[in-house]
Amino acid sequence: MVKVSSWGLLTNDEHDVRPFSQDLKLHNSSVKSLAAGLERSYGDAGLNPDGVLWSTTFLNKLISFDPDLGVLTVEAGISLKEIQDLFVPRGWSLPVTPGTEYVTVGGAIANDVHGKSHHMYGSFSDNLISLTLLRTDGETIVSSPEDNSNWFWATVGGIGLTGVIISAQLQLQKIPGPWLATETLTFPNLTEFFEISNESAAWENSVSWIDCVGVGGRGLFMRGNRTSEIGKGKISHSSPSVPVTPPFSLVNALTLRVFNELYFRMNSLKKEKGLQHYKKYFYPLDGIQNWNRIYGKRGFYQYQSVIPPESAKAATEEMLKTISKAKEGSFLAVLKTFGERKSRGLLGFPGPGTTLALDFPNRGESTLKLFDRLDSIVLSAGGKLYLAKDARMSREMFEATYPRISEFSAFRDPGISSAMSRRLLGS
Amino acid sequence: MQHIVIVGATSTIARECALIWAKRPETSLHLVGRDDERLLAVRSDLLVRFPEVLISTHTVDFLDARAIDTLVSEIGQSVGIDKALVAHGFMPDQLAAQADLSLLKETLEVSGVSPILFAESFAKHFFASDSGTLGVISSVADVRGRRKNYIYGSTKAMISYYLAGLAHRAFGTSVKIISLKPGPTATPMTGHLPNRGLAKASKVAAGIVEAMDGPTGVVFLPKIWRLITLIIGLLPTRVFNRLNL
Repeated sequence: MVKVSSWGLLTNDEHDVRPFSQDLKLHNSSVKSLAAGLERSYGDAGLNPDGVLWSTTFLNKLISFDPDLGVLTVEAGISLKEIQDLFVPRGWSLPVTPGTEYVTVGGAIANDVHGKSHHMYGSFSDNLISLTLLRTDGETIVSSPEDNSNWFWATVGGIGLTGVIISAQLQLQKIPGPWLATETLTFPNLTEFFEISNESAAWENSVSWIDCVGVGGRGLFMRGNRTSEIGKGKISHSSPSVPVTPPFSLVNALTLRVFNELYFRMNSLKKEKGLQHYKKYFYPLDGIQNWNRIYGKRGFYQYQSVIPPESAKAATEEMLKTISKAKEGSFLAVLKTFGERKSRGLLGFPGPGTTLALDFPNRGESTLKLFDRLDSIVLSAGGKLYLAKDARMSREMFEATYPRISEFSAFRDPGISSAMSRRLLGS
Repeated sequence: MQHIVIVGATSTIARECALIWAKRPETSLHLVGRDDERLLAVRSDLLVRFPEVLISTHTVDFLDARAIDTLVSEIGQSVGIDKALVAHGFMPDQLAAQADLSLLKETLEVSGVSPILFAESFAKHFFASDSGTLGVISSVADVRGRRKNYIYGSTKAMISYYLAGLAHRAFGTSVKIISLKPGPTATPMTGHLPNRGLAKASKVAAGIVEAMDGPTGVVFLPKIWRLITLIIGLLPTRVFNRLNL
């Protein structure tokens, strides 16, 4: 047994971790199991306390690449970083990646992840040609939007509950080079955020940092297009690490206020236009290993919601006001307007609207109470929460905001269970 | 063109070594394994990463002495071998191997006998041409019999002992013998998630590739294991047997 935590470091429970290999007779196990990748889900989607975790990170071989079509076939335990490191120099990139490269392809599919390019390229599954699933009864199912499509849309965003994803065929995007031509605009309030966001529809990538301390909703809008230009500066391959978990959170009301003030001012003074390497633009936090430790021994939550367009502004304002009043939150606060494409996964998350993602140091009851207040704002605005980040949503909230649960349940693998599935689906 | 043979090529550390060698210009890799399908998967992976590299695959029964010798001399005669890495091994659950004599036998054969059969066959080839580098993966588990791992440890002790003799034999020749001793490394064999205090397979592999460019010797990966094994080796038996290792 090995102790395993997810990215939020909220729990550290014993798991029977076993290397996944296709020779393993999954169905011989009487204990419920779950496939695990790099454990970057923030909450309990990737945990299975006292059960089996199939470690898939050794399932990391590339199977084939078609350089004419940009179609890459891989085993599902390979990380997005390995793919990007190999193919960006060749002029190809994954069109959709989340804010870290340290996730596996299997994890990216199981959470149907999205990124700064959602308004252009949709979510991960919009660029997924097919996937292969191994069920714990030994059956192998190949599915795509054309063939066995019901299995495909159950598995995409299905948080690993339909079987073990063992391989996938991905559509890469031709890129002119590893750099982006970027613009950083400041906005004093949400009204301007929405204006800039609407004007930026033609930009390939966009994301905003938002100051959750003040009530105004000021922030920085960062947009970027791929370019063939080459910027200055070396991209280092080794990154500093937060070496230990401090006993208490380094993020608190004081450090937060100071940091946000400095961050906002420094970026407002900076040149508006520039060139940024894709690693820095897309994965700024990958530059600091184990950054999740800054929140201390009690760990942290991330709260990520999406609110439909008609209520997006009012609800986001109200959420920010509630957070500011509670004096919680962190400098890691992200706002983005999604494009029109709705994830077709039965439990998919991204869709038209505005998504707000915030870290919260775990302060126990007061943090959880704040989430309850945020939940009611999200609920009444017709929004929902992202399963990849969630560790505490109630089953009622899940059922009220994910309308296709019963359809999904038919595709579950009876040998697979997770802490999240037990919490939200009852088994 | 440099020709490198990797035995046990589907193992994690061997694959990582292949990834490093494949980056070198004018390198041809010859992968040896037991399972054709898995070997071809390793080959495909290398070819997607490095479309230019030349790779051949060979399957053989790892306990068939004659077949091993035939395969090594065939590769040797067709291309001439510059380097050979013998990388396979098998670590059973200690308690299971105590309880099941056939598992014990399998461990001794796969982890102890088989690597030596390959090594001796490569040695024959290298000494005949007075050239070549042979690297064999032993382990720091060889230092001392301990209750938690003495069956696997004894196979590695056998390999280390054997390699010491081979290195002695190579003295004064141009043949290089590298005894490779990794500490606990994150591979499917160790059965853990990465980042649990285990060495990264890619780092161990980088050390192996570097060592195989150097002279005859014993290489600990990471280096700290030279000191740790020295201390463990020096402990009086009375003290050692009290420890829960």
